[in-house]
Amino acid sequence: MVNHAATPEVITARAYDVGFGDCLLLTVHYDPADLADDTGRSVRHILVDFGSTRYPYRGFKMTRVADLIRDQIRHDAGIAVGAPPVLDVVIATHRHKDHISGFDEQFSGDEIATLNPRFVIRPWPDHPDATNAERGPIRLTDADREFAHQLRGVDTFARAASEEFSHDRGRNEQTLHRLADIGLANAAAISNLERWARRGHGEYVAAGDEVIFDGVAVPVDIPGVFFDVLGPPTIQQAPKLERQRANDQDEYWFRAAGQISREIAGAKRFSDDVYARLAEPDGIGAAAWLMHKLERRSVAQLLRIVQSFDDALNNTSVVGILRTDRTKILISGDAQIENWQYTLDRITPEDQRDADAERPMPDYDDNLRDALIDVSLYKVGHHGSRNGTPKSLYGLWESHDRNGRTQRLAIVNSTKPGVHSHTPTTAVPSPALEAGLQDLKGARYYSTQYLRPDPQDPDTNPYRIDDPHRSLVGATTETGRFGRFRPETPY
Amino acid sequence: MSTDEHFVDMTVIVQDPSRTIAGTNDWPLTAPVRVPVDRLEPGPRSHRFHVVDIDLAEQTGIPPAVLADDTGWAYVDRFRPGKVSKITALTNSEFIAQNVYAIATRTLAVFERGLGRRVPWAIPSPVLNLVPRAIAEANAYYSRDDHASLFGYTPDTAATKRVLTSLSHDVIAHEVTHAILDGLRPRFMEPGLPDQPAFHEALADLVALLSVLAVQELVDHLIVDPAAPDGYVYVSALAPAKLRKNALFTLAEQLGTALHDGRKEALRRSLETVPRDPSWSDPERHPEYLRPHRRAEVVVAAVMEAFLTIWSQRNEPYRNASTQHDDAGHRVIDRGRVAEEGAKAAEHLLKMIVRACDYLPPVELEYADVIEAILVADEVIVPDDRYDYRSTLLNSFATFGIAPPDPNMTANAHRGELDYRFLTVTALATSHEEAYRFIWQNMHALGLHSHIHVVVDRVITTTRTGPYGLVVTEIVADYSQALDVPAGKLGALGIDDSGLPADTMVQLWGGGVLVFDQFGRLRQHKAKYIVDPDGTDNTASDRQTRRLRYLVDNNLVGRDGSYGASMNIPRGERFTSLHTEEGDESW
Repeated sequence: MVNHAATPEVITARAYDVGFGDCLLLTVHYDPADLADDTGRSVRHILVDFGSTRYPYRGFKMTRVADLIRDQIRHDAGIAVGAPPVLDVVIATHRHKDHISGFDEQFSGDEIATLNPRFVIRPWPDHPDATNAERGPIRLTDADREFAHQLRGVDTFARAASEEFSHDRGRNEQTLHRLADIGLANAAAISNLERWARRGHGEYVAAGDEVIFDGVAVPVDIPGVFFDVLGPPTIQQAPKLERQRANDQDEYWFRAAGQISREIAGAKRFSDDVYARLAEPDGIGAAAWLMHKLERRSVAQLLRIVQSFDDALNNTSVVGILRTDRTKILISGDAQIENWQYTLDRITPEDQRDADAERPMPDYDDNLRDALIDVSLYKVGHHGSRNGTPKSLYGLWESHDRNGRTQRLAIVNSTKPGVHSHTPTTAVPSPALEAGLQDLKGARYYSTQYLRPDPQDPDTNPYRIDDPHRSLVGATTETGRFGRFRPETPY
Repeated sequence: MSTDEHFVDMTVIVQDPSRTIAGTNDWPLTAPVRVPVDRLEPGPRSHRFHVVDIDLAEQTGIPPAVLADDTGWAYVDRFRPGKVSKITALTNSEFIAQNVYAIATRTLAVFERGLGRRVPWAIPSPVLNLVPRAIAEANAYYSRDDHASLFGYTPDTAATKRVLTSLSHDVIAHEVTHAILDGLRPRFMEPGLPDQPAFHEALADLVALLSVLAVQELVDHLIVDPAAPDGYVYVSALAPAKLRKNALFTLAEQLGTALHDGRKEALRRSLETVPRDPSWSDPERHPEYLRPHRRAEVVVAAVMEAFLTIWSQRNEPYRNASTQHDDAGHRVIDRGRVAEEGAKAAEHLLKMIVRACDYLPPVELEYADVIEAILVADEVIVPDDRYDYRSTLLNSFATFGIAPPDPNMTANAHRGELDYRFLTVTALATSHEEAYRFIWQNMHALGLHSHIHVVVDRVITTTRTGPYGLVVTEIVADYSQALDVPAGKLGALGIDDSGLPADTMVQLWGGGVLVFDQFGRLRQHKAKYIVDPDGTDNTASDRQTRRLRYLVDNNLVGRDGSYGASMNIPRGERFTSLHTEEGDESW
């Protein structure tokens, strides 16, 4: 029998080096005398994302990481080789390839399936049937459904757009990559997540939800661990997410995407009738040149729509705090300001809020503010890009770190430089953000990028070229804070 | 209805369709504006613009608007204030066409009047297309390839009616200004220093802002104070700080609210956020100012500060003479007067900036060249700076650390005697070859190296009349030079190679503008040398070093791996007017 009063003794966090992507495995350890389930396990495992769009080095395989995860789970649980390991929870923050490709059997979906994932947590816009609001803990409004529906147009759009670009692959290589990243290759991963959720349990979460792993409401028990969901907010909570209002643009981005993908798919051109009406006489008048010219142009507009979809999907990311009585782990996927804003509003006292803000304001939540100040591990959002870690959040830590406290915040980034943009202002990871995180008093910053040699500058890398480390690992001490993270070459 | 034989009044939406006349809910602020007369075919289509109402997203189009009779000369304004409701404005295709045509034509007229000549497009056609509902996105841009300025719209949704960027005065003026500057300075599209693309944005923003502020009705509307007696404003509200708060922040509030917050934020930042000192130019401290739209805010800030100072100075006589009071005894003055002075100040500043365009170097523009060109161009037309416009602008730019490299531009005109043998004024005024002959005969005196080819890009004659009736005729010739050099050989020219491999090709640019008086004598020579002239300091090589460093740091590399020849940015992307900004939470 599970002792529901048990409290975790140690939490271990492992950030596997998957290149440009995310893969964070959390192991919750209990005193075996306190907690042992039917199989004698006294640990629980939570996997937050598993995906990559650019591998860390030549010859890298996602299956290798899946094997490492399996071995780790077995080792932690003391399960003999051959016995079925158990992955208690999978949190898929959002459905970009760099967060879920590892769940696709083309990469390592089969290997993860052997871990018997029991409970899958996804953001509410991923709900496959948004009209059936009973499945999740949240009630979806018409606006939510419309938003979720439009997001599902991504695949259609991306497919149509890649066909459009594929005639000139060399010239459009970067665009094709991005299209692939936003949706094309992810259908298999999404369907696997869905399968595991059906077999076990799945929830679609929204800001304000609290997931209690008590073995009752959800069929997984992780005593003493709670997941406070901060995002994604629903449309009602954060209209900016959908930007339905007339003075915002995303609403028509989505509509435009639909129109344009149809246009591309059908190679639609102005009809003779339109030519006749606009370019008199008989469609060969003065406007005809422009019409011919414009009906062939769509690339620039496509690129902007790709960007817009990209941002919209990022903003569906699950943001939340996995908490025990002593430890708080903040995850945020690739959430950007539109998702974060709701949380930032909740922790901004009423007298400090922007009086001109044209959005509904949630009630001030002092407890949430304290919880964010008190975070023990921050998994850096959006691979360290300039828009994944709100400055206000950083400001919160900065203002509470000037008192010369001891090390209390571990910051872990999972990224690969040189993939997106090279300019100092837009590079990922952002030099300004990294510098800020490194300078943060009372914090230590780690990044998976330093687990491997820098091909540009091998001398500055502390690790040998022929021996790349596989993960960064850290564990909580008796204070509930994480000790130093270290590179690890596991079993 | 004609105001005189050269102009017609056309009603336009003065600001943005979401702005209504004070006290009413459903009337956008419209006003008749003076537009040069032209023969109008359906479209409307004039000798410079053609409105083509096609919709790329829907693949459909609206037949051309007929605004005049069969001869094209008898135009009647069917949309005079009081006759057009908001609903009409937002949906009537003929009004939409008239609005975009009138504002575009007016914007072009501002330049032609200021420069004293016809202004060409960069395209091989005298006609620029205006497409008021081109794309289903909240954006607008000038596209040289398409010979067009394309305006977007927000599609109809269940919740909202469609909103058109082509109904926003400032968006139209902004986009048409990109097209105009591209015609005047086509090489500003080449890879240069960050000031160059930023100036494109700054000029477009300034023309948009100042041409809106030059409409007296709009200024009047901005400074309405409900607490003051009807038709008056308080004297205390005329200090620059108050005008900034009341007029410009209100304007910022009204910019693009129906579509996008970007423009509003841009003006707000110009008024508030841009550091009032040279620190913005330090890329370590302020990397955000390397982005053209953000960098543009610096010049907008400098000019708007000058605008406030000048407006305030112009109000001074009324302020001192005011004898009227409200019931509580507070001094008030006629609001119309204040609005008129504001509109005049805006119009004059706009003219000064426009006139400067002919004096800008045709390549390698830096902000210091902008203030220099403004001062020099104005001095020719208005020798005595009675209202302190020049010194106000000079001081305002100086606050931001932008100072003319050489306040007396004639100083770098030439070294030694110029040789005018066999040259004739008539040929010089019309012929590239004659202008080149002048350069050829004076290579050394002009500081040019004869082993680097010189191309004369343009020769024009301008005739302008100053405020005191002084007529100034000038011949202006632009030339440019380009040199392809492997990075390994840059050192010999005094240019740092930014760590590029020795065989990476780098294209260097230089050029200048030669201004001759009506007798064909060189009056000014503004040069951005491609390499340092013999026996001079290293101004040119320093600039080339900075340019290459900027291109390398920002990955502005051509498809072939070379630097300085192309930037690998789609042209349609360079001039989008409504751009996404991340706000204050980003790094």
